[in-house]
Amino acid sequence: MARAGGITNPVNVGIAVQADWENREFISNISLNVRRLFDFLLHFEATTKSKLASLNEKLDVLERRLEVLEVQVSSATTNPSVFT
Amino acid sequence: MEEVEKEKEKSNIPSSSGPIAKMPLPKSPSLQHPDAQTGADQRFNNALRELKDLRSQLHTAADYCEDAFLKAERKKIILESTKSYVCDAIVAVIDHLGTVSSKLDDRLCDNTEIVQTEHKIDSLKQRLSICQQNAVAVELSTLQWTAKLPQHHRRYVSQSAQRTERQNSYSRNEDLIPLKNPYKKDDRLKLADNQLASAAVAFAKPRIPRSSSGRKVGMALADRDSSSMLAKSFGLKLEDFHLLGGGHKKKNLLSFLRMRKRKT
Repeated sequence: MARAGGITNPVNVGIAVQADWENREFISNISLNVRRLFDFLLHFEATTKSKLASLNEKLDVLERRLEVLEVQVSSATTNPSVFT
Repeated sequence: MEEVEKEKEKSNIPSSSGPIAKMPLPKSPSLQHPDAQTGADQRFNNALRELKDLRSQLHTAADYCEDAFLKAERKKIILESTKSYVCDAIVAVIDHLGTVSSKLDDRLCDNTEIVQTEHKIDSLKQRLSICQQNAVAVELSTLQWTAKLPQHHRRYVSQSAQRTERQNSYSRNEDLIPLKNPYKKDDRLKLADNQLASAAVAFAKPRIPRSSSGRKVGMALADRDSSSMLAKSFGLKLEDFHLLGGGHKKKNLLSFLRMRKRKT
């Protein structure tokens, strides 16, 4: 009787194995999705970094141009006789 | 059915509608109304805050599931509910991440402020260059035009000097003309030549009365070669004409002729 209702029963073993495989399949699906999510995050990080770098470059160029304009305006204001 | 309920009561295991199910995942941001928040910055901040809240909520749910699985006798129900919750949690995380990434990407690609700043800087640079060009033009005009030119009496200026001075005055006028005159340089040269020719013709017109021999004295003064003819007609020397200062003054010539007549 113990063998009929225990784990040694081939039917119960088959059910347990099937449940184990289902669990493994679920875990593999979850891990696969998590890996995809991680790849997406890595790709998003790379693209975001490149966009931020280009944005920083544009801002640097604008800052330099503003500095040049400030110097030109200051030189013109220090010598106002040029514009009179 | 009764047996299943009894087993649940005995094992005191939360069912699928238990505490795990009572912890609802935050509402998917993609299903929210887009007009709920105004402004891209506000929407991005809200999405990021929801993602951070989801992280803490998932940690709490994982701890609860672990405790329930360890304490429960019938672990299968706990396992199934945990599986369903994990699936929902992954979907929610992916949705939140997609929302945050799309909003961040929109913010990075939306460079209207930088473009506007570039336009403003370009306009400032253009205005500054226009001011510099005007300043340079003013400086050049002050260098080219002098109000006090040296002026001498005509009797002290030879004919060649007068011609060169006149040409210089025309050239100065030509240099000043381009600021206002739309004509080309060749047209201006032709105009100056015509003015010079008309002035010479008007000056050479005979206002002097005819001489005794009937020849026009004024016409003879038009050019230098005709001065020899005049000298022959009046019996004068060429040096006398040169002493007159170019021979363009009619009154001086008449007075000179009268003086010569008195001498003879």
